[in-house]
Amino acid sequence: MGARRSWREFRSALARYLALVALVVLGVGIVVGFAAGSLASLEGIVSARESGRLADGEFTTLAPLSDPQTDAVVALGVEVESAPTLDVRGDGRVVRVLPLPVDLNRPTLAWGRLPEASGEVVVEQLHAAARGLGAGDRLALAGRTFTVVGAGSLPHYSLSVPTPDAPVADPAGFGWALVTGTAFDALSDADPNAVVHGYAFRLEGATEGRLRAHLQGLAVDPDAVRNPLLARALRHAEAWDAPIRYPLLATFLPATDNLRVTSASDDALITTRVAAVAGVLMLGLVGFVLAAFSRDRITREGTVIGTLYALGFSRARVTRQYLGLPLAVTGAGASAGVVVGHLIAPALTGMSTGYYSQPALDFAPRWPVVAAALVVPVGLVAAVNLGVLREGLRQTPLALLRPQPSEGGASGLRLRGWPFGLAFRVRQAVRAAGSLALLAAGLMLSILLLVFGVGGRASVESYVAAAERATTAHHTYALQLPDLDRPPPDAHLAVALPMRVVGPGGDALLLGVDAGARHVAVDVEHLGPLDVAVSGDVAAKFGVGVGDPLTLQEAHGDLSWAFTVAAVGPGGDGLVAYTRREHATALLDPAQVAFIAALGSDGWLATGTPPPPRPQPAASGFYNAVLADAEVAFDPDRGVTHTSRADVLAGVRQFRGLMDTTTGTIVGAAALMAVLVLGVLTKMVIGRQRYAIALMKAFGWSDREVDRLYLDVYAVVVAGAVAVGLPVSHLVLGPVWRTMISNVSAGVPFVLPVPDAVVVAALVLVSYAVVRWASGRNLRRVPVTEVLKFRE
Amino acid sequence: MPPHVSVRDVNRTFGQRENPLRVLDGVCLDIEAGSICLVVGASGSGKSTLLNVIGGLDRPDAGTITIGGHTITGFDDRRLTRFRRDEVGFVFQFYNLIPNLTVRENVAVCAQLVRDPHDIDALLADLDMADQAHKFPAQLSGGQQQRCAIARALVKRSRLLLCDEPTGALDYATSGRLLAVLERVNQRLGTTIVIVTHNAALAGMAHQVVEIRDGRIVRDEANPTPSAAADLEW
Repeated sequence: MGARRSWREFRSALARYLALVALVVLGVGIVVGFAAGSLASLEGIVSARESGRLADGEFTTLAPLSDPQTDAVVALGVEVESAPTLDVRGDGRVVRVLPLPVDLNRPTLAWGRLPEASGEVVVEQLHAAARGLGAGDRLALAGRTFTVVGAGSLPHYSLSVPTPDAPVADPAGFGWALVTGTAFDALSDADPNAVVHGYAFRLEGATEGRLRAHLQGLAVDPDAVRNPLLARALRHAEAWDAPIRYPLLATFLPATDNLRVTSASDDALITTRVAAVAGVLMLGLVGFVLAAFSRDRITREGTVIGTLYALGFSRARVTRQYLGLPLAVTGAGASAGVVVGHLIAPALTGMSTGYYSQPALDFAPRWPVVAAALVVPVGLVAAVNLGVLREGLRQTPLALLRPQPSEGGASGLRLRGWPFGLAFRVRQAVRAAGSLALLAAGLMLSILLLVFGVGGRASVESYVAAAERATTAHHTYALQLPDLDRPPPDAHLAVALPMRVVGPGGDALLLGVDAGARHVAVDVEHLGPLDVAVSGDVAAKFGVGVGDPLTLQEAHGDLSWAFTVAAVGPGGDGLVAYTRREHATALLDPAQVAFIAALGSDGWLATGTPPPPRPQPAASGFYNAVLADAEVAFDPDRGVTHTSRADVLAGVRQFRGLMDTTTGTIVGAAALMAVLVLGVLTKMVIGRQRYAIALMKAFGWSDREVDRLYLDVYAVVVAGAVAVGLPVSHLVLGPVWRTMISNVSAGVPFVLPVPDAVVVAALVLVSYAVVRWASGRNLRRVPVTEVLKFRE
Repeated sequence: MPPHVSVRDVNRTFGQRENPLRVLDGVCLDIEAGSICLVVGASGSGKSTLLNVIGGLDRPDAGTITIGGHTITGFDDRRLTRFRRDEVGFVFQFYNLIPNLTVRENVAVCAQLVRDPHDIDALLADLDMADQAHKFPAQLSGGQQQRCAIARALVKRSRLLLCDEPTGALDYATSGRLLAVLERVNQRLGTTIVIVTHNAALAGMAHQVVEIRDGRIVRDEANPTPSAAADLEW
């Protein structure tokens, strides 16, 4: 009988229950989608690391390690594998070619097979997808044509971006290609200077520090250097017995310091945590909305319950009858939500972590997720409803059979002298305080999500605009071996030192520039040796301001310097700490500076003049970075890395593109949730006050007047939720946002400009307008004859 | 002088087609302005339905109803609302006060509807409710609640007061005091009052007594010498 009554109750309030089911599906679906996606991602990352034997780190050298040098490294207790790379440019794209790894950092194929012949290639899966490359397609690399035989991912994810400081991956513009060792040798023979001598290592007894110290002690062997300029310099130096020793090690990056490696799993973990918090909030809200329904139903059916008691039904049996429907609704919604969540998980995962080029993920249901998604909402709703039911059913059968009108907590309010309309609305608000509080909570949650979505997009948009303003140099060059005697005309020279920020962690570039230099938005003229002016990006990402300490450690060494932030720039120019050029030069190894100075076109190598007995750094003349308005034709043997303004802006625009789908989904879901919560609760309150509404109509109040009397209070709640929710959400989301985008090599402060705040407010108000319109219709449908049926 | 209320050939049927229940069947009735009309009948006789169609709360299936010269049976919802606002006051058996409003606020609900309502405080004083003005319905006795309901019905100066079993939930003494209030309202304000009751003993105070049975009027008598409400006994 209980089931029949519940079924009839369900049918009689079908729209209301369907809205509730939708709310549960939405809440559970999004939470399950994020949770299932990030778990699949985490498992995929771990699995790919294990199956691909992720290296403990990578290092690059200026020349290949000689056999004795390799043996010495192995003797330390290190497995080391040569992993050279070669960047091939063309059609506005860069393809980084690698020989097929043997033991470390092995690829996971998305499809196809590994290259077996020298004319075969496996392409990074996102790059292949972006270029529409499939099995059997041709790929031209440095004048040779390869046949695509597969696509996949690498477990270290380092190669998802062309340079470590690129903000985000652009699969269309950059990707890697694996070829056989023979094919790689052929390509590198054609362009030996373009080869980067990389190595992957795995510690098997040695410590990371010991390996690094050992590598730092190695000098470049002139016979092994393929760069003719460098080789010539080294041979000359040897011939003259010059006290110059050029270090072999160029970069050293342990996997634990590789943001691209750690961020993939960090992102998935953060997503899981955010999903868990959002899930508790959303499901809690759903639980309380359902509890409000139960309370309402008990109030409406008080006489039925009283009759059941009077007939001898036990309290437990009645409780079971009334608990059945909310549990069934929640169970059905949660089940559908689990299905929906698993369906959208791939898309949600692709949005948040897809740019790491992860291997294909297994989105099969994880039973803990499914169990939690079913048990948590049902348990929560059961607990909350049980409490409400117990409170409601505690009354005696007589009290239930003959309910006495209650002032609904209004007796404490003395509103003498208040205008009628205001007093009426205040009393209505007090009477429906619980529902209104629930409504406010639901709206605040929706606003939080809306601010996250809209603000996130605005923040990225604002960063793109800032980057467009700040990136005034059309061409940026980094040179390993600059010609200090012939600086390019009209170019701005700088000293660039890759650094790591001690404390928060993360990369930053220490850039020594001349006072008043073009392309630099900060003034470095009065900076002391240990002062820096940081970009707005650094300030936003690492949370530093004027007067704060900023300790920077050389990216590939152990030295660190404690700087003080003397100024903060406008931002958009990347993670850069600016200093004077001479201060930056003073931080360099003097021998290295002297060596580079010797390589100049007018330097001692060219003139044949022996070097000074004690080489001193050519402080003011030193540079290894060039910012220029027009392209500069550098000798490629000088180890040039070129970044154009278009490249930088394409990267940040790509970041914006990545965010669009995420923010769109969040905004849509939040707006839908606002409509559902508003609609469900408004409908419930109207349903509860059908009699009073009919009574007002019986006295001659028009539909419009009744509408205003009963629904205006919602406008106040909505306005209040917007007024409080906007600043609170902005406050809460600042640090959350910083954590969420920690993997992005840019400082993107969370902003919510006034127009975007207006958009959020407008979205909420439009949701309210929709609900108000629907509720108005609902209210008009309350027949005046209702007054003849019941009494309050 | 035309009657204040004129009901002609009114039918009202409830229920579905296969099982219809005709509650009013060709009802014709005239009620003079300023009179007290008592409609008596057993439960289910149709007396409350008659009151509801006269008050514009319900619509008859057939027939015409004219109130104060307005034929309300042709009114749309908007005009019917306007009619209830301007012409009618209701008093229900179970008072039907809004529980979270004070007595004064309950009366103000109707005072808001017209340009020139009675003074609420004066009206409450007249009904011996001045001391209860700021109490809530739950804090009042049944008689006090019904007097509040009467004040609410009268405050907008309605010329027609429709009372559905106004003493049905009250004890004898309280009922007597309430009837005296209605009598005083009729005499002082000239309000036409229609009282629906199953208590035939109230007939003595009415100017007109109508008996209804199975949806038909079986008796419609004038009472030229009504008794004082205080003299009624049952």
